Amino acid sequence: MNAFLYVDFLRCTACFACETACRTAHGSGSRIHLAFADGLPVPLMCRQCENSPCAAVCPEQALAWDTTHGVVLLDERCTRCGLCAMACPFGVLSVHPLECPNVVKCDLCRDRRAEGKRPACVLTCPTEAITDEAQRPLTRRRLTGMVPSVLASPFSQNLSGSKARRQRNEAFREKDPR
Amino acid sequence: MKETPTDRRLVINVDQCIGCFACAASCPEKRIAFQDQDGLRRFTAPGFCAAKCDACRKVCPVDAVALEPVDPDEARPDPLEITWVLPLARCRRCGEPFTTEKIRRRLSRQLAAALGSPDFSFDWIPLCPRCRRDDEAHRVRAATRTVPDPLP
Repeated sequence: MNAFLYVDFLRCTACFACETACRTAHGSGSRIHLAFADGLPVPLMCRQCENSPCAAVCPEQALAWDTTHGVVLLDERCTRCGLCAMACPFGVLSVHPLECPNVVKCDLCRDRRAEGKRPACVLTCPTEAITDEAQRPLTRRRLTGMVPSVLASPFSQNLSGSKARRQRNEAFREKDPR
Repeated sequence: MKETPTDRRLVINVDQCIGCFACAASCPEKRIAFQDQDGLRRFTAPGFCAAKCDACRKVCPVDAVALEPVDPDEARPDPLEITWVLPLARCRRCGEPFTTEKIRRRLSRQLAAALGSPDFSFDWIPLCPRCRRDDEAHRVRAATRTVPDPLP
């Protein structure tokens, strides 16, 4: 597995199941935060930044980035001073020194993955808005024709699976076989 | 020979203390406490500590905690409890206090040194985590606006 969770927030129904699953899986506060932009839900969690501000300010170098695991917290170094939480640009990292023995940050369910399980939020989300497979949300968007402008080139249309578009593409090929 | 625990005086360098809560989190007996109230973060700690432990001194990121040995026969005029306060920084948008003024300043400085480039601004630092998430939600929604089908 790679170091990201992919969020197709157009599918998010704001049911808060991910937050509940996260709380249950970690036994502490939720690492996923449902934020709302003009009433529309956007699930936010650690972005696993490569040049992470949280790792840059940590006085004990307890946060480190690597390709396969994202931003990893080294528990034995962490003093829970809370500086990382205040450095996070997305507000998705928090420290509750007296309630929780850890930094509340998405660790991509490290413990579950060690047991060969997938992240709790991924398994719980009823609409598959959160997934650990990069290909799924992209394919789905192509299927529904909702491709972001950067991807909407004539070349990507061949990847489209919509029936109407397939017929249009076939008609186009008949006219101009190449 | 069995060692006997000796009391040590807990000395906080308030000028250096940035108001993080590493000491409070590290104390195995939770004897250091803090509370955010009326725009101030108020720390409360025992004036003396007899435990054979220096967790609070070790974890302090700015070395503001010292444990000075005390002569057991010495009279103790010091208070048995010490408190110190640090001003909190308020979110520029919603006005809620979210960290101390010193931490906010320290982070701006550290981030500029570590990640800074001329065209990069750390505009999230004066915002509380909740407002940062709101901003991010708006950014994400705006960045993924879809385009209409390019085919006729």
